Amino acid sequence: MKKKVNYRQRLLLLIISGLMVWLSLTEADLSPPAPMEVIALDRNTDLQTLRLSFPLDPLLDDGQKIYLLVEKKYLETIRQAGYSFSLETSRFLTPSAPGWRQWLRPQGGLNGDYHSYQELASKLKTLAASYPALARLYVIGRSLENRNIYALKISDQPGLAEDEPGVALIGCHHAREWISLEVPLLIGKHLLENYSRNSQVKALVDAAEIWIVPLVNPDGLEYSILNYRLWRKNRRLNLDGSYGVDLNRNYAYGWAYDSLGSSPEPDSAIFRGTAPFSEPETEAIKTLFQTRRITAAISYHSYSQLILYPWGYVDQPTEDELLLEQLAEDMAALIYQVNGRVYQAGRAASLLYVTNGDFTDWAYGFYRIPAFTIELPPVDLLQGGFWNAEEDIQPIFQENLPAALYLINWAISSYYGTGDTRGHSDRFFNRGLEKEEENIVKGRPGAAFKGKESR
Amino acid sequence: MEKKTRKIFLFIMLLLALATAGLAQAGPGQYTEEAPLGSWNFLGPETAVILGAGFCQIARVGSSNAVFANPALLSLLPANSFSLTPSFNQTQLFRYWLVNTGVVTTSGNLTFRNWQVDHIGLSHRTGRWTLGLGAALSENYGRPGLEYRYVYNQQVYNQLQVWQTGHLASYGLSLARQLNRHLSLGVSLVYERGRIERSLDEFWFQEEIQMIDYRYQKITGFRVLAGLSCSLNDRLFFGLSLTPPYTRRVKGESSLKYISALTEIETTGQASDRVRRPLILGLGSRLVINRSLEAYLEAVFFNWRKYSFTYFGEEQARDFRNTIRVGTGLEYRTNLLFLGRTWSTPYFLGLAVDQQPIAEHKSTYVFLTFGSGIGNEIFRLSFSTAIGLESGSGQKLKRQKIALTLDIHPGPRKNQAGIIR
Repeated sequence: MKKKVNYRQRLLLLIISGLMVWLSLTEADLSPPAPMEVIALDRNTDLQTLRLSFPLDPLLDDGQKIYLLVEKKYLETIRQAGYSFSLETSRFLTPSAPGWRQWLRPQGGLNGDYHSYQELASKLKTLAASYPALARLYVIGRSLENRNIYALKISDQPGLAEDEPGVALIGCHHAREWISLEVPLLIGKHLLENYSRNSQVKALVDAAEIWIVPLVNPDGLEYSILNYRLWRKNRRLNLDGSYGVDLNRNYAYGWAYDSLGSSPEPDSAIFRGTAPFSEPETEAIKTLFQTRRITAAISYHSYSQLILYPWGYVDQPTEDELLLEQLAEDMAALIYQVNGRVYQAGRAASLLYVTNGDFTDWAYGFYRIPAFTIELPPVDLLQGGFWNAEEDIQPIFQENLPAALYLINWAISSYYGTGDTRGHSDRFFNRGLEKEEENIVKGRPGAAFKGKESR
Repeated sequence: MEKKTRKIFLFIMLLLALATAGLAQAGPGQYTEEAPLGSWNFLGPETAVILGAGFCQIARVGSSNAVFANPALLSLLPANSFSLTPSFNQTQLFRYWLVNTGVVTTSGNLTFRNWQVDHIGLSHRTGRWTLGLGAALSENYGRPGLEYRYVYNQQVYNQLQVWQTGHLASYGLSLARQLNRHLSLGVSLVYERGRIERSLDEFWFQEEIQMIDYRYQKITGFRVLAGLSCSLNDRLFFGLSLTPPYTRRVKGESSLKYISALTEIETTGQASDRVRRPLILGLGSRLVINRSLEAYLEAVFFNWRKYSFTYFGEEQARDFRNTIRVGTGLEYRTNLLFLGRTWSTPYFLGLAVDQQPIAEHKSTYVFLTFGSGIGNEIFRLSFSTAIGLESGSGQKLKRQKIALTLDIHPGPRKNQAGIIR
């Protein structure tokens, strides 16, 4: 009798255990992600046939080899099929590196094809790792919430501070302007991927130092993705309990010139901060300019389809009005040729509205370099305002690419004093800098960044 | 011996009280995306009996809610038991989502109120084995809804509506065995399932432009819980509860839309996220002071430093500290003659200190709890309340819970320990 009771209890226990195991199996995905490897094949390999036979994910083409992401289980079969390849997994990321899983993870979170801070960091590291001879990744500062502000330097000798003109392509001062991050990032990617097969790109990269700073405001961008799409400022907790400083009103030139072009009120969308460069994010850009020979710059924003040049703080022409206007109009014409989209060119204060303490006034005002704000599409609120469809990222990048290349080319010509820019060169580079910055700027060649980060 | 036991118990109680006074700190900010309302620290559902006596439930024989706190206690229940607990909750929040983080500012704390069924469960004993089944609402992700309008010259220019709902339910199955008169062991397998849904809808009337941000997440998880109950003598009992770390899986979908007369832009996303939950270790004690009076003391450790959270594909930084929730309570029982029958009427009084894990704010709730009830051998109705005041955030958040529990013990029999509860 006693044995019978025990048997029943055991049976009950078995049923319960089985039930629980089944329950866990229905919810848990027990199959781990397949282990992946990166292989490199000669560029002349018949990839068409290979891709028909195996599931491959092209990773990059460095001009000599094609790098493909492939499941480990196919390696032997590919080898047996007669393909010669080398394993390059460790060159990119080691499986134990924190970024590995993220790198393999499919995109498509809350922000779709747009980049978040983490996605951008991963992409920049991959680019720098993939093109060690052309790119080097720097951390030029950290945000209030301790996120890195990255600068990707693209040049033929990225490890050296050469006597070459620097061009800064800067994005995402304003958190909600997601497209303004994508354009400089894609320009940088284009330069790296096309260096070996496009002679124009090669000439530009060889003769200049191009600084890609896609994300000035990482904290704001994260807030915009996670909490409120229309967030604009950084994430400074102001004294009155409000949040944020408008980073594009926090630069020193013309700072607080009036309360139209920026606001002293902390809860305003254009709050200029408590002092010029009060924010670590703008301080990072200042550091970049102080320590590198930047000779032209574009700051990407959205929306309106405009190319703006100084001054913004007052509706008066600079002494280089004609040149700045010419450059802006040339860029607008190049943009128009790609997709037929019209970008109006003009002085910031008259074409858009007065802004004081913005990046472009500061870059021109202190460094006397041509600096532009490009307001990317769409043209107005009804066509999307701060929104761009994911499928518009590529067309917007494509149309802005020739304009950026044009400015880089102009900077090179101007710097070396060739062609019809000779006069401009004299005007821009033999002129004294604004007194306040002069002493700092004199010491910039070779100066090292804080927190330098390489691949 | 009795005096000695009592002294030891009081000494431990004093030590713990001093320790928690030192640990008690303040802070809000616990309302991140995934934060449950009220407290991050969940051990088991709080029936009225548990709530009234300072949340103590690890060494205390209450009802089949032991499935979620200490399954070993199921052995000490009457042969059959059924328990049902609905509750009313009021929770204050100050900073969450876009509220008081830069977009919408409020003049003070906002309150979320809700009725919910906290727990329903039953147990059945055969010989030395006891089987327990239960369902509990372990976390609520609701937030106070909000509607903001910008009106100028009696014209509405902008309207913003936000809401968030969601909960996590736990379904537990336990098996407990009484090894001898002093020792019981139990194990629970708990399946978790829930959702978080939130929406932001903004409209600009002049331009006829609308923005919609909608997110839906489905949560599932599976955890194991082990418990032990032992009696040192007829007066002093101890309980132990252990939940090893486990992972919750979250499948998310999102849609971010912009609609105007000329365009409609939508960004959609899908994600498969993981939430690494912490180890939970609880130790509780029960002291029978005399036939009418019992005292409880327990401490529950949550290893929040090991917590990790991904949200729509991205690991989110969570600077968490480990926390300890300490509770102490008293139960005093009297009898009452009513409708010609003798009824048992307990009175509960308790105190609990509940640290919250977010390190930046160091928020801690201090709860005062009390309650009462009426019952006989077959059923018992209990009601309790807990009032919690928070410090550390600077917002002095408050939390209140009122619980009502119906316990039914059909065909009461003495358990193996000879205790009738």
